[in-house]
Amino acid sequence: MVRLKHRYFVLELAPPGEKAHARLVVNEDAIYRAVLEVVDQIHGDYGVATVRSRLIVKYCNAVTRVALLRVSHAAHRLLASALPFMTSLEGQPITPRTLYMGATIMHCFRFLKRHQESHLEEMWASADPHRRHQMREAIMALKLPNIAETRGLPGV
Amino acid sequence: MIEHPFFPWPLVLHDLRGIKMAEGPAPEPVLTGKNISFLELTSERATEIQRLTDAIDNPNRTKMVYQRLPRHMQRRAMSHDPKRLPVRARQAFTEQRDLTQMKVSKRPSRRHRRRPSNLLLEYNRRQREHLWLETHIWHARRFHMVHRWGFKLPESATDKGFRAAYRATAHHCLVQDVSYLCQLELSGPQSALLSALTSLSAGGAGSARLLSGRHQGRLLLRSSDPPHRPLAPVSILWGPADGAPRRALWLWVHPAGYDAVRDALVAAIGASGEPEEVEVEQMGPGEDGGHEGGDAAAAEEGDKGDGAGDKGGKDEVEGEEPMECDDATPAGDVKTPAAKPTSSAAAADTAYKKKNVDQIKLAPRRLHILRRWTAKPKTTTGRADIPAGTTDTDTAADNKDTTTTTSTPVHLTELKGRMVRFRLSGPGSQAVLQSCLRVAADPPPAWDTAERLEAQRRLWKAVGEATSPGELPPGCVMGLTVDDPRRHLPQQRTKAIQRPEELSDEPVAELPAGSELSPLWDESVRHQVTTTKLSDNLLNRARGHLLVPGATAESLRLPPVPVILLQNHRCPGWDLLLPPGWGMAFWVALQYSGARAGGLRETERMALETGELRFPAEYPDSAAGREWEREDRQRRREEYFKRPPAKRPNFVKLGVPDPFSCWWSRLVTRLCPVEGGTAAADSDTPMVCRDPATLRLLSAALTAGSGRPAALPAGSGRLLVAVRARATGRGVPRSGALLCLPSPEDNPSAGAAAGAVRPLTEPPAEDPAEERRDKLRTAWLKKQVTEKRKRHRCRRRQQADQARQAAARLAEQRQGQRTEMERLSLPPADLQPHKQLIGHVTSGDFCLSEAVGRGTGFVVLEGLLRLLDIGGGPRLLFRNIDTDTYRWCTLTLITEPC
Repeated sequence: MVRLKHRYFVLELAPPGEKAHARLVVNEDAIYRAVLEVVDQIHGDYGVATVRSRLIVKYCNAVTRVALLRVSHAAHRLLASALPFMTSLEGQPITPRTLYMGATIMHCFRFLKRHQESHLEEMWASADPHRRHQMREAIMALKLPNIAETRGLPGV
Repeated sequence: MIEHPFFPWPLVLHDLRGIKMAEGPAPEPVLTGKNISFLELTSERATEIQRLTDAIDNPNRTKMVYQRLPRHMQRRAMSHDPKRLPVRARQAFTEQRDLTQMKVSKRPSRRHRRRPSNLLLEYNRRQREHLWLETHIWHARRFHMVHRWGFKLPESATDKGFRAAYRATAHHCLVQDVSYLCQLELSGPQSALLSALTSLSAGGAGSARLLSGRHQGRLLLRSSDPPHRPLAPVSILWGPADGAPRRALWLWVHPAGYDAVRDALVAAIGASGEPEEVEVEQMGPGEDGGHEGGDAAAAEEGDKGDGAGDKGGKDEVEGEEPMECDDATPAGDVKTPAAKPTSSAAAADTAYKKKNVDQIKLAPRRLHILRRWTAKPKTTTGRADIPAGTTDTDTAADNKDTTTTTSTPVHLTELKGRMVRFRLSGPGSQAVLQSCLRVAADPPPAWDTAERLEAQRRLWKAVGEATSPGELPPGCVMGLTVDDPRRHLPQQRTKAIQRPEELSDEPVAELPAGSELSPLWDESVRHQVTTTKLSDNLLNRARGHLLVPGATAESLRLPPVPVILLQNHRCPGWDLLLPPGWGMAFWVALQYSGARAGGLRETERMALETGELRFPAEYPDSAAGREWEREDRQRRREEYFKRPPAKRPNFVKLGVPDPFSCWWSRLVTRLCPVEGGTAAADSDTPMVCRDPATLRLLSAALTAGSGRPAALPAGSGRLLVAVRARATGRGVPRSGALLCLPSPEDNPSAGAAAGAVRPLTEPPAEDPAEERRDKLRTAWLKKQVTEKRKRHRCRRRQQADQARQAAARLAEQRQGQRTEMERLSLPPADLQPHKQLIGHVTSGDFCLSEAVGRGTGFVVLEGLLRLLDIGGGPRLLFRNIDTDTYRWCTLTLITEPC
């Protein structure tokens, strides 16, 4: 049986420089278009055709600036080499950073979870007591999303 | 995991899972600033972690546990048997299985199922829904079986022997198991029976020919209240007239009309309520068991017994032993089970006791119970010279001289599914029967005498000299006591033929008196013959002990069997009437004599060849006929719409008003319109004209080509007349074909007959709904696409409920669309063919005996009169519903009442 191999990219799409905290307007469609555009610039029609065949933006989050891309195994090098040249997203200046590349979405999730945890840890470590208090409050105030809502993430 | 002394993360995350959702709005900061705030980032990160944790812990998997195992651990049929899974995965599998509600039924092992006793149980269990014929298994192996009228019946052979079956009927012998014809027994004073029958028929039941008990007849029973709608045609046979006050009468009814006939008879004899269930007592071998035949009183006597008849019967059967057949005396007397004393049942025979297969197979028929209605006649029907009250039922059998008593009750007994009836048709049935049935040798059984056997032997020889059953008196009846047919079974199948020296040209005028007597009329004899039948197993054991291995069982002495032979004259042949349980023995013997088996298809074909009307399909004014028509219409409609639109005829363009059934009432209303109340007239099926005088008049006018007869009763124009249509040239009338009046300018000698000119055709009609259908179809195709898209969108967004709802909505709309399209494809109510429609062919096909298309059908009498007005004789146009070509046929009226 033929197995369709995929590669999943975990990207961080942050505005460059001093605008690091600026609010982004991001959705899956925009990322998809931007990615294809940069692949077109770097690799031309061949690249676009190869990448687009199984390219999907699985997930993105405008606040944490994380996006999850799926691409066929055949095309992942093309995509990986093109991604650093991406400069804008819907007219917003942007610097993508490839955080992780996995073969299954489950591993990307695991990585992402670890990644976010370490970020929170850093925030905690660098925060003063007042901030820590605020953080604690914010986290304790979180609603427990029920399972159906949780499934905003793509299925595994 | 994060291990930090002051970092609360893991703890918080873990705890969060247990916290109930807070009611009311959470104190969430408003986050609309230009930059992302620290708090927003914190809470978003935390939420994301939570969701990821959930996604990792509860992956949304679509596979079953056994599918998720690595390849090398997967095993065949794991889903079937959880024990093939690794132990740790079994729990998960059970949970999944319970969720999907996969039902796992424990089927007993094949070895268990194939045990003979369990096979037998299964054999009886499978008969619960539909009654089986005794020859069911034989037929099921060779025939397509259909459910019909509460029976499982053979439809047609799987060997495609369509013409072979015809050849058998025409030149040799076709045999059919017609045990599905339901038998009823009426017994009581002759006058009471006659009055009951007269109220239900137009007369004929009391003709001297039938009353003699020496001929069977056919009768159309009709309801007693006007307008006397027919119930069903029945075969009728009076019991032998022996001067006893009680007479018996057998009726055979087609199962479709059985309930109606039985209820009408119950009402006619004046009985009411539920039938009583009477135990049949078995008669001892020494007792005098109604040897006179037709003596129902003897059965009565038995009925009054202690009710242990069934038990007694079984005990004796259980007492069976393998037959003894000494090598030294090959013609040794095989001891019949009845003659064997019960006490001799040895312990070694216990194995047999439970395994009398024949008895177990007969168990669902409940032969030991008779369902019977009783009516006490209130009016005195006896003659004046009989002193009242001197006799009663129990002693009636002894007082043969008294003719009628005042207190003799009338009984109606159900014999449905008990006796076996085989129908042999064709000239060869003489030879086949001669080779199968041999009158029993001396000594006679308890219920017969040596003189009678001798007389039967002579008669059977004389009857065998006729070349065809058609040479014998029509409907004659013969009671025979014959040998067990297994005794003379040939080694292999042969084709029985008559030797020329056996034949005589002398037609038999009448069978001698007394030939109709048969012990089969006696319930106790029937019961005895059934219970004492030797099972095949025992017979084969006895054959094993014969001196010459493989010799026929001729040298064994087996108990004889009483049978009745009834001659059929329409399709010359015999009906063979057998006691219950003997079906297979005789059936196999008939097969070995070269009779070809036929099914329901052959019955239909025979009706076509002889031009008879079939019941219930061609009795449209009876309740059974209407029921049949309703089912038939539904079936044909479904078949029509199963085909793609391009592969089914457009009945609107072809000008066919009622494609799926013949809508008689509408046809009548069109031909003779009445003012007002058309709706009521439409729903009421018109009556079929069965008045012999009217039919004679019409028939004479039709053959003579004269104008319409003057002296017809008023209002008879609205009746239907049964006709035979015979194509004069090309073309075959088929079921549903339109019978149309020719215009005066239509010339039958031109057209198809001449071959040069194009035949008459129906000009194509406009189909006004065509455009609308196209639009509907296009719109529907588009709608399906959009709905599909919507559904996929819902699914992508994980809105399963909405996707389901959308699918349900679509299914509903699909149903609506289908109904509307079907409505638009069918002809409107006011559609009329180009020619004047006066009737329909209800069944027709290519007739092999005449090499021409033939059929039977009905025309409205008014239409027939219009045909007579034209004066072109019986020539008429017919057109099949799937063509536009009119062909010519000639009409003949069916004047026989049934």
